Amino acid sequence: MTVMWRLFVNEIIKVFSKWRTYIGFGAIGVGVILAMWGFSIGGSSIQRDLLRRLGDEFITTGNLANGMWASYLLMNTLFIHIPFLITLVAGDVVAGEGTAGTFRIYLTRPVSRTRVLTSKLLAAATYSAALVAWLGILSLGLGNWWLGTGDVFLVDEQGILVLPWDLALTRFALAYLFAFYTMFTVAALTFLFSVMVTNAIGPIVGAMAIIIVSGLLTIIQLDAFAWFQKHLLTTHFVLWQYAFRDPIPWDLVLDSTINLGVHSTAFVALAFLLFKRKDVLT
Amino acid sequence: MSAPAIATSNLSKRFGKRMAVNRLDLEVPEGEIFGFLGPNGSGKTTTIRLLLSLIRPSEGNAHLFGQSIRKEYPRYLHQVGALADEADFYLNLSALANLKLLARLHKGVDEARCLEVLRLAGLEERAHDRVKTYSHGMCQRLGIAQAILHRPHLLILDEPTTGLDPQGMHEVRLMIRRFANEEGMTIFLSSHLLNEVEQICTSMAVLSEGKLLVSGPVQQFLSAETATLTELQANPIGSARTALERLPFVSQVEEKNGRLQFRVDHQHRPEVAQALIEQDVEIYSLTPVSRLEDYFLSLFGSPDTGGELP
Repeated sequence: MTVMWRLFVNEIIKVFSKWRTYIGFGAIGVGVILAMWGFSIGGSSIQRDLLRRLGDEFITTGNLANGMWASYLLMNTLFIHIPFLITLVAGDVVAGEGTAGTFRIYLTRPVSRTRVLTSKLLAAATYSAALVAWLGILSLGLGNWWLGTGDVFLVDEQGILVLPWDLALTRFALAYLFAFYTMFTVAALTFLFSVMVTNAIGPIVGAMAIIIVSGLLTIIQLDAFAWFQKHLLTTHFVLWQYAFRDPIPWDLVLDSTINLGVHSTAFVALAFLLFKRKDVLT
Repeated sequence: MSAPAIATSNLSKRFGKRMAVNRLDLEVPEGEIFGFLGPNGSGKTTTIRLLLSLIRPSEGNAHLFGQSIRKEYPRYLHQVGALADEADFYLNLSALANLKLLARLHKGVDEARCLEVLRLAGLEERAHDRVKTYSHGMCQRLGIAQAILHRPHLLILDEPTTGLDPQGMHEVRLMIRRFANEEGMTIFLSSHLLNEVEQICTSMAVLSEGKLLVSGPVQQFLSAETATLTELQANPIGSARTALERLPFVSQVEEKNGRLQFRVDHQHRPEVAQALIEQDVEIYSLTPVSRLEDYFLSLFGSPDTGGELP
């Protein structure tokens, strides 16, 4: 085993030995189950509403309010809820060691701080990926089992899009990949704050405050904000939604990918710079 | 000649305007049990954190077995085991899981070695229990176990007996002696407990306000010439006390367990004996009491603190 792999295994053990790690999985699990139960009860009324809005222009057969469609709706919660769950762990991954005083036994080993921090970043990224994957697997798996499967019928401000079942699965995979990429930026921001302090509460609250303020600035459409809105982190949280457009707007995907990537790189680079110079006083 | 276990030169650490460690030049020869003494806030813990690269020096450097803490970080830590301050662990993991976690950071340290150090620390039976269920004393012993996990040549311990009951202190001191005698480790022991240093250390240094005051073999500081505390066994004790209290160079006369203790400079002891004989006091013993505490009082000029530094 390489040193990096051993460090990574250590971080995964540490992350998954804390109960806070399971809050996110539990919250998503409960949320998805309740949502699917709700759809199973009210699905027919939702379908009637959809059909009424479509009027006489479409002839539909089968179940529109199926598991795929329900999973798409659940993905919309990503913008608000998942970042908070990400910060719970990413905020603790470095600062938690400061609070517990465990850096004194961990950093006095013949392993560089750069490697230690890399392993912590990888653990935070793995947790983010696992949380998004859990949302995907649970909502698609449970949804298709409970509500049935079929093509996805999407109505939004772009218009109406019908995705055949097999193509929809590919699009979901792409959407979850984009969602992970976005959530990694949130994790990187929280990670940076986590390096700066010795208490996990600060990074969690700090990161959420930035996301909330940035989110507000993204939503409020004012000319005064226009010049910087494009560069806000939260502006690009919609990246996953591009996977459900036809054709996929790759220019927008590229733009968001670059913007989020620049944010992540800056956060991570600063975190490494600070951590290498950090005095461990706790 | 091999390089000293620790050699610092001009080592300094500044926090804002305060110099926590101020141009420290210290040398710890290999194989010593070295006591690092000083009052609270004197810079002992900061020095240890500097040696372990937990904090960065503002100036100066230190070499551990000839390896620079600035240039050869983190390689030099192969040779160092440490318990810096209190023993803190990943509380949700068992003692064995904690040690396995740390073992992965060293080459050639396997589960068998983890169990071996747990046995040395007397924790073998609780190896699979979560550390959050451990007492303070058990945590301290586990702290020492993690420090020796990779068989270091130098063991740095920062007040390892703090908060322990007398039995716990005794066990930890036994462990320290065993590591020094049986495994040939150099021990760097920071403490503010003078009797602890007196009992187990071979050399020592005293730090005050970040500066080195004195350094040398413990016996040097325990020599009778430097001691002022003197114990007298005599009969009748009342007459002896009266005679002592009349002498201008004698102070702090106290009766303890049927003996008298008082302070007198080395050169006045014959005059004390003469005065007692003149009062027809039978002298059974007149002994200088050599204690580090006594030496410290001469250094810091503080009142008796019951074996703890001010």
